[in-house]
Amino acid sequence: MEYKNYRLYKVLIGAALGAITVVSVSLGNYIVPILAFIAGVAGLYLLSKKSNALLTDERIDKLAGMAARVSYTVTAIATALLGMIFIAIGKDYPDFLLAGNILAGVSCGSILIYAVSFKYFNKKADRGSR
Amino acid sequence: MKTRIKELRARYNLTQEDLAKKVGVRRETILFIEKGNYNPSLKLAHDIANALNTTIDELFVFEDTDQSGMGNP
Repeated sequence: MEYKNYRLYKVLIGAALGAITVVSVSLGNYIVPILAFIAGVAGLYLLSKKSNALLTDERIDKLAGMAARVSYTVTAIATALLGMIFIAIGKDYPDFLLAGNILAGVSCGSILIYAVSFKYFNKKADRGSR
Repeated sequence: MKTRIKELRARYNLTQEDLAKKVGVRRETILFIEKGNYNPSLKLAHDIANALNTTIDELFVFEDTDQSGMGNP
């Protein structure tokens, strides 16, 4: 399968997933979107296995790393700031306190995952260089 | 960074796609390297040089201003 076809199928699966989710949720069914998501992920995995086109290389990996770093930074800062604001508001509006604590937890969690994975890959690279 | 990839490709009658397949990267990556917009890893540079029967020294001309791994914008 050519890369263009792979990309087309990927977009079609994404669009179908989106449509199924919107329709199911609007009808009050939450199980179908979950099943559709699992089927979609499985379909994408099979597609990537079936595709003989080269889907990634060192340039794509490098770009993905840069994009992931920006995404991580933005997400960690945004959730931390929002969490702080919600916790501060929570003194007067208790409903916000839980949301603030969850956001602060998500922010700390993402920083922890970053630190652990950085250490892991650093160690792995170090082992590979010996 | 300037490269002689295009010139050597023409000499061996190779398309970007052919060279990309030979060294195991996507065609776009060869295009970016040719345009000087991406600095390849040492291994990829070595593989490209091998595929074009030349050396890394002959293939790439480094300039002092090159700092980023992604090449000049």
